[in-house]
Amino acid sequence: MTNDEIRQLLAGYATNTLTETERQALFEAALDDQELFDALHQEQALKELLADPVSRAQIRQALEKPRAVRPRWWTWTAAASAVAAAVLIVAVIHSRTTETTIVAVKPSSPVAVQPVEKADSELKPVPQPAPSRASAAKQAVRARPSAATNDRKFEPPPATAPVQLETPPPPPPALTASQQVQVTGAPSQSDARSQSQVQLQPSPAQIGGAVGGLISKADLPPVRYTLLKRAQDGTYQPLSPGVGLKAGDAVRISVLPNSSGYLLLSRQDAAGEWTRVFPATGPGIAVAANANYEIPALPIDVTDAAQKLRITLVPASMIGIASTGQVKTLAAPLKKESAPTPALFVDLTIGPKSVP
Amino acid sequence: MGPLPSGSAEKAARSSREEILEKLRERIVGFAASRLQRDAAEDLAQEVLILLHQKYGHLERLEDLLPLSLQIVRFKMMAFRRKTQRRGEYTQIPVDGIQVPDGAVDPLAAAEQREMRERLIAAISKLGERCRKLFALKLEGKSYAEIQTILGVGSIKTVYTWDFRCRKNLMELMGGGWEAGK
Repeated sequence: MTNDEIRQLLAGYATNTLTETERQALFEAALDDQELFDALHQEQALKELLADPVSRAQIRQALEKPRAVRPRWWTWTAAASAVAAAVLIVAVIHSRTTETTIVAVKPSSPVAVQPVEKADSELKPVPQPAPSRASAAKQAVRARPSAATNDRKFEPPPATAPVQLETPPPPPPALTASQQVQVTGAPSQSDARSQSQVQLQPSPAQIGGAVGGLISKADLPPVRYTLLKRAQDGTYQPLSPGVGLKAGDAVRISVLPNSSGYLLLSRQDAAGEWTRVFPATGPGIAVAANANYEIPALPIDVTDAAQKLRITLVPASMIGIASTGQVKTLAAPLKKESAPTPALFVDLTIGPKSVP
Repeated sequence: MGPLPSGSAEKAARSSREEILEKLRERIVGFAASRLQRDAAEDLAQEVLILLHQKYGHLERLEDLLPLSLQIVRFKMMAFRRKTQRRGEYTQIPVDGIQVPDGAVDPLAAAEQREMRERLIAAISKLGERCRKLFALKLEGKSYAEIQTILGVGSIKTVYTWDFRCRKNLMELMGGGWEAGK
């Protein structure tokens, strides 16, 4: 036996577990090793305790009991925290589930863009402009959550009315030309109606999460909209594929603002001036970000002549008014819009053009 | 080599015993000196040897002498502490307050043992399953060889190692020693 093994025999001294040979080896080592001798003396107390039959019986009884397991509260706490964090992350990601965001290329001159040729052209981009127009190239924007559904299914794009996507006359500083016309596949609040969709772009938020979303916020379109046509039963449905507008139709616009603020709709008159259509007074209807609003209250009648409309979003931050969801009105109705405001706007043209 | 004459065998045995006692004295002094003053430690070792010589003169084997000396040392040290207390070396006690021994079990020793038992039981409840099993087998009187067979361990050295670690673990659970504050 090595010295280490002999020292290990110390554990058997108090319980009288050692054989004669083991005891002999242990004691001989203890005679020459003061430390081992001291340890043996220390064991003497345990030996005397175990020599007492009552104590021995009680200790044996204690050994037969199941082991006392410490409640590892910290383990459960850590696990619960991890689960909560995971749920939170999933919830955040889920809430940022994006819709298809389409960014059309704005030509240098007003050109009517046919959103989709056929139903089977889904996921195809809008015909790209000539390379010379690359400066107005499309811009990927962060997709926004849908107020009605998070269904990301990409439906066949319906044919829309001849919506002309044009450049507004003096573009506001906050909005570049490439941002001015954007058609999205955002479903409306009422149902998961199909939308006019031109191109599917994964958003930065999809890729980079919240950070990417924050970074790309400045690139968001001010609003996204869908034309709704009044059906026979009086309800408003997105334009069906292959169906255009004709004189006498009534349309409304489903608008999805990307930030809270005030929304209003204007129409360009023959003199080129923009006249308020909806609401008649006030700064606009107070809207919350990423919620669908159908405007105007009364539908727009499609006439033989094309109507140029402008959807304007005045962010609450720009006018120092928090979004409260209340419609505020001004004492005097605003008939005309004069000086350019810091608002963001999108122009569209509605006319009796049939979809090819 | 032929058998030793009877006188020579007796002489050799006596010589061996004296050798063991000499080593024991050295160890006892070394141990006691770590807890008492050097003079007191030497006195204590001398008292142990006198007792071994006078009362246990018939014991010659190390396996008998060493455990006995350990027990005597332990008792002597406890008595020494009590004696120094009575003498007022640490606390002044009036003569009237000194208790007369009644021949019954020493209440101090009994209290210490009871306390140690409770601490041991509490520590055992925190031991791992293997150590509990090992300790239980030892208390059943099983030898290491038998424990090796019961636990199905390949080598008895493994059992030694396990038991040594369990002892260390148990001592740590009891605060570093079997007896509180010692």
